[in-house]
Amino acid sequence: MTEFEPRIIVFACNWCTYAAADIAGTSRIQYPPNVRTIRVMCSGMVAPEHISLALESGADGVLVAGCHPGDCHYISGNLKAEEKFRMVSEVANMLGIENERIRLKWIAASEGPIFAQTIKDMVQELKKLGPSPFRKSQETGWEKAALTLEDILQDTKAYYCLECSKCTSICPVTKYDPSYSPRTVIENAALGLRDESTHDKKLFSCLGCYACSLKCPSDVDYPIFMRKLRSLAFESGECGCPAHGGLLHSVVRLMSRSPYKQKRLEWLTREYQTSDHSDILYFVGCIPYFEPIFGYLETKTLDITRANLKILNHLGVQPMLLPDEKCCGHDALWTGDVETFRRLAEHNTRLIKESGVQKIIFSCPEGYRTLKLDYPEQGFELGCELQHISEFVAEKIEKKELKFKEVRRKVTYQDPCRLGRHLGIYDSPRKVLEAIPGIELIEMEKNRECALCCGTSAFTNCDTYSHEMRVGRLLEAKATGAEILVTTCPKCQIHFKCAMNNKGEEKGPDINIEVMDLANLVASALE
Amino acid sequence: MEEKDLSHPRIGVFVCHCGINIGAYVNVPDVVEYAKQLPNVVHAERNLFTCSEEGISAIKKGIKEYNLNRVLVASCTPRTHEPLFRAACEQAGLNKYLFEFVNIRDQCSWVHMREPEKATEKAKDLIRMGVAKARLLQPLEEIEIKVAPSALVIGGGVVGMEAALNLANQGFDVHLVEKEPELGGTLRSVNKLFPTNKEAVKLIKPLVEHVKSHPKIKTYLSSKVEQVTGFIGNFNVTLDGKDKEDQFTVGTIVVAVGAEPLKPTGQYGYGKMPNVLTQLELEERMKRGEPLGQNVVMINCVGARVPERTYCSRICCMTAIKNAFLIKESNPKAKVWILHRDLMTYGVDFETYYRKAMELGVRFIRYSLERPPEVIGDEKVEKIKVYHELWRKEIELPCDMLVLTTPLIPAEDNQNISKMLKVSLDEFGFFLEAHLKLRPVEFAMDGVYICGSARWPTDVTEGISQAYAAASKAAGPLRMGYVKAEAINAFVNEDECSGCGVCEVLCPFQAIELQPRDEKRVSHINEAVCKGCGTCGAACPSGAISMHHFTDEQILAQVEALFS
Repeated sequence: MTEFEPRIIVFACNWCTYAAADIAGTSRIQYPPNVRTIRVMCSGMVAPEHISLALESGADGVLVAGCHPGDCHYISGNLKAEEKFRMVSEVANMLGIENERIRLKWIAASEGPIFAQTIKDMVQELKKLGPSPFRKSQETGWEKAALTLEDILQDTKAYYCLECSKCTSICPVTKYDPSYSPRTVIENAALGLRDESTHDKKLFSCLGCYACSLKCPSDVDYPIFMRKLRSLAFESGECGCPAHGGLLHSVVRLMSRSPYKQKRLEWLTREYQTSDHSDILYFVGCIPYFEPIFGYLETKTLDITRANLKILNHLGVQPMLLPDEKCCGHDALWTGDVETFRRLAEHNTRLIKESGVQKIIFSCPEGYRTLKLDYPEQGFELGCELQHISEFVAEKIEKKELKFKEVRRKVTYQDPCRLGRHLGIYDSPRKVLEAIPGIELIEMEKNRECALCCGTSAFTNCDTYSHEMRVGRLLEAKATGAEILVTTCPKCQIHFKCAMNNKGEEKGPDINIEVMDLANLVASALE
Repeated sequence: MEEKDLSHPRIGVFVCHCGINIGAYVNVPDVVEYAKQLPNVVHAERNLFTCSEEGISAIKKGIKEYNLNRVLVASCTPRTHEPLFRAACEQAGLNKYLFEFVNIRDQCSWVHMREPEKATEKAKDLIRMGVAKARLLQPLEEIEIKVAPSALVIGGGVVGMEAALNLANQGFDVHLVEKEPELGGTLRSVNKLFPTNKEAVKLIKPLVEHVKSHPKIKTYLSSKVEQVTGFIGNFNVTLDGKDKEDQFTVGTIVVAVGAEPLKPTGQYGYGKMPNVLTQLELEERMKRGEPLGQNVVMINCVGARVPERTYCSRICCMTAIKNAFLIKESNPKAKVWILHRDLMTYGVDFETYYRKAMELGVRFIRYSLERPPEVIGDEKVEKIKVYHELWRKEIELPCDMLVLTTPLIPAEDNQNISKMLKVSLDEFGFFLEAHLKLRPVEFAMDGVYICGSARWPTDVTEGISQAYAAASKAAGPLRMGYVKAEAINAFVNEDECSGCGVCEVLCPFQAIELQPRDEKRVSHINEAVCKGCGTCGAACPSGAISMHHFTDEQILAQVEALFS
C-alpha cells in the first residue's frame, strides 16, 4: 500500500510568505511536494469560510501564512487575520477537528527556510493523523430523489393559488424589498419556468415566517413550497447569498459528515447537574458554535443554555445532554440542502433513540420545529415527547410547582416565527411572564399571529432589507415603553443585537433596548 | 481597440521550461498535454523561456491566432515576471488583468528536485487551479487621479518652514499654516542650539524672511486647519483664521506640527517655588541675561520614562548638557549638577560636546526611579537631596536654582488633525508613520506626510532632514500630475449591504465610509484610497464586499479545482 500523502492548501500573503516560498526555491531548499499555494494579497483577505470550505473540499491541512505583526503591507491585515483564524480554530476545535489540520504562521519574505520547515513539519504531523475524513473519495453517495417543479406543485398544492396576492401584501420581505413577491414565485413555478424559479437569488429571501400562509384563502403552504423549490435550486448550484460568507452552512456541512467527536460541552461546569440516565433530554442546539462566531456582537448565547439548565435543575430535573448532538438541520433543510439535513437527522435520531429518553426539551424553536415536524415527515421517528422550555415551565406553574420572586420590569415579547406561527405556541411564554410577580407585559402592535420576524432565517440573504425589518420591529418594541424585549429564540437575539450594533443606522439610540431570552428572565426570578 | 468577448473563456496556457530549471524536473510536454484537456483551454504550448522575446511573441501570437481571452503562464514567480507577461497581453489587446500566473519553478521544480514525478503532478494541479481562476478573471482598469500642483504644510516651525521652502523651490504652490501669530515654533523660545552653541534666532530669522518673501509660499498665521476632505491629489482644505476663513485645494499634505514641552506642575516644587523652572524657561532667562545663581541643579527625565509616559524624549539630555555648558562657560565659578537616569548623547558630535561639558566642570550624578531626588526648602528650593547610586549614600547639593528637564509631549491638536486627515497616532499620541523602516515619512493615508517632532522628539538637524525627505515625497505626485489608484481593490454590492459598518472599522486605510443611499446608509469604498488588502470582504457578514481579482468565487474555484 502506498503511504498516505497529505494535501495541504496554503493561503500565502503576496508580500511575505509567498516571497518566502520563492526564496526557498531560489535557495533550492527541498521540502515535500504536498503543498498547493493560493496567493492572496494579504492574510487578512482569508475569510473564515475559505478555511472551512478548504477543509470541506478535502484538504488534509490548511496553512494561513502572512507577515509578522508590525510588518503587514496593509498595516494590520495580519492581525485581523489572526482574529478570524482564532474564531475558526475555536469552531474547528468544537467540531473535534485536530488542531494540527489548520495553522496560522507568520513567515517573513526572508524566511525561506522557515517556510520549508513549516511544510515539512505539517506533512509529518498530518501523516501521523491520517487522511482528512472530509476527503470526497471517502464518502458514500446519497441517493437523491429526483425532484421536478411539477412534483413540488403537486406536493404542496400550490396550483390552488388564486393569484389574489394576499401573500405578497402581507409578506414582511415584500414590505421592505418590493422586488420580492411570493405570488410571482408561485406563478413562475405554475407556468413551469424552471430557470426563472430556481436561478433567482431572491428565492432565498423568504423567511419561512408563515405570515402568508395564515392568510392564504387556498391554504397554500408557501414556506414548504419555497423550501422544496430551494432544494431544486440547490441542486442547480444556487444557494442565495449566505450570510457570514456561508461559514455557518459550511460548519454544519462539516458537522454532518464528520466522524469526529465534538467538544461542544466544554462550557458545562459542575454548577449544573446533568445525568446520563435521565428521562429528559435537553437539546442544546447550535448555541455553543454561535458563541465564537458572534463574539463580535458580544452576544453571550451560552448564557441561554446555562439559564435553561438552571431552571431545569431548580425544578429537580437533571437532564441528559448529548455530547455529540449535531445541528438539527433546520438551516440546511431551509436552504435546500436536503442531503446535509438527512445526515444530521439520521445521526440525531440514532443518538436520541439510543439514549432512551421520554422527553426532549428545547430552548431553540428551530430545533423544536425541525424535530417535531420535519424529522417525522422525512421518516425519522423519535418516539418521544417534545417540548419547548416555555411550555415545560408553564406546565409547572399551572401545577403550582414553581414560584418566582419579584422582578419589577416592563417587558414586551417577540414571538419567534418557529414557535408562534409554525407551532402555534403563543400562550406558554406569556403565561410564564405573567407568573413572575412585578413583570408587566406590554404587547407590541403586531403580536402573536401577526408578529414580525426578526429579519433573517437560516442565515441567508441578510441584506439591507433584513436590517430595515429589524429596525422596524425594534421601534415597535421601543414604542411599548418596555425596558426588555423578551424572546425565546437565540437567533432572534443575535439578529436584534446585530441591528443595534449597526453603525450605519441613523436611528441609533432609538432602537436600543435590552434583548433577553425568556429563560434568562425566568432564571433570574427563581426563588 | 476591438472589445473582446469575455463571456466564453478561451484560455491559452504557456508552460515554460526555463531552460533546465523547470524542464529538468517537471515533465513539461506531459504538463502541456494535460493542460490541453482542461475545460476552456483552447491552446497550450511550451516555451524554452517564455520570458524571452520568442516566448513573449508566442503569447501575442497565441492571443491572436486562437482568439484567447484569458492567458495563463506557468513559469517562475509573479513577483518578478508578472509585469512582463501582463504587458505582453496588453500589447496583444488583452486587458492585463485577464492574465494568470502559475508558479511551477520557485515553488515547484526547484524545491522538489529529487521527486520529478511528484513535481510534475504538482505542476498539473497548480495549472488546473490556475485555469479555474483564469476562467473567472475580469478586466480591470487602473483609475488615474489628477493631482492639484500645490501642497499644504501644517506647522510653521523650523521643520515646517524647511518643508515649505523645499516644495516651493521645486516650483509648487505651498500653503503654510501656523497656529501662532508668528512663524518659528518652539525655537522662538530657545536660546542657543547644541552642538554648535549658535543662537537659535540666527537660524530662525533668515528662514522666516525667506519664507515670507517666497512668491510660491502663502503663509497663514494665527490659523488652524478646520476641515480636510478628499484624498490624494485633491484635498479640500478649510482654514479657521483669526478673522476669516480660507479654502483651497492641494494635492499633498505635510504634517509638521511639532510637539510641546511638558509642564511638570506639582513636581519638585514646580509652580510653587520661585526658583524651580523648566529648561525652556531657563533658556528664556538666559536670553534676557538674567542672573542664574551660583549653584544650579538640573533633574533629567522629569515626567519621562515613567509608567504614565514610558518613552525617552531623546533631545532633553543634550538640552540639559547644553544649558549646563553655557552656564559654566559664562560663569566658570558656578556649580552645575545634572541628575540623570541615563544619558543620551548619541553620535560623534554629541559625545564630544558631553565630554567638553565635563571638562568645563559640569557634574553628573545618576539617580534611579525608585529613589528620585528630593527638594529641601520651604519657600524656595535650598538644597537637593539625592541618593548616589555608586556611593550608595544620600548626598545634599546646595541649590539656588532647580531646572527640570521635561520631555516633549504630543501637541494638543494631534487628535483633531489625526481624525481630519485619517492618519494614525501612536500609543502616546504622536503621529504614526506607515512603516518604521520602509516608509518613515509617509502616512498609510496616501498623499499625507510626516516630519519632525510631530512624529517623535527630534533635534533641529534631524527635523530638517526629515523635512527634506517629507517634502521630496510630497513633491512626487505633484510633479507627476496624476496618481494611479490600485485596480485590485474592494467593491461593494450595495443591494446586499446591510450597512452594519463592520468594514468601516476594519479598514486600515479608512477608505470605507457609510453613505446615504435610498434612505439607508450603505458601505462606500473610495477606490482612490483602497489598497486592496481585502480585510473588509473577509469580514462582511452580508457577503456584500468583494475584492477585484481575488473574489471569493475565484479563491474557492482554486480550492475546488485542487480536489476535483
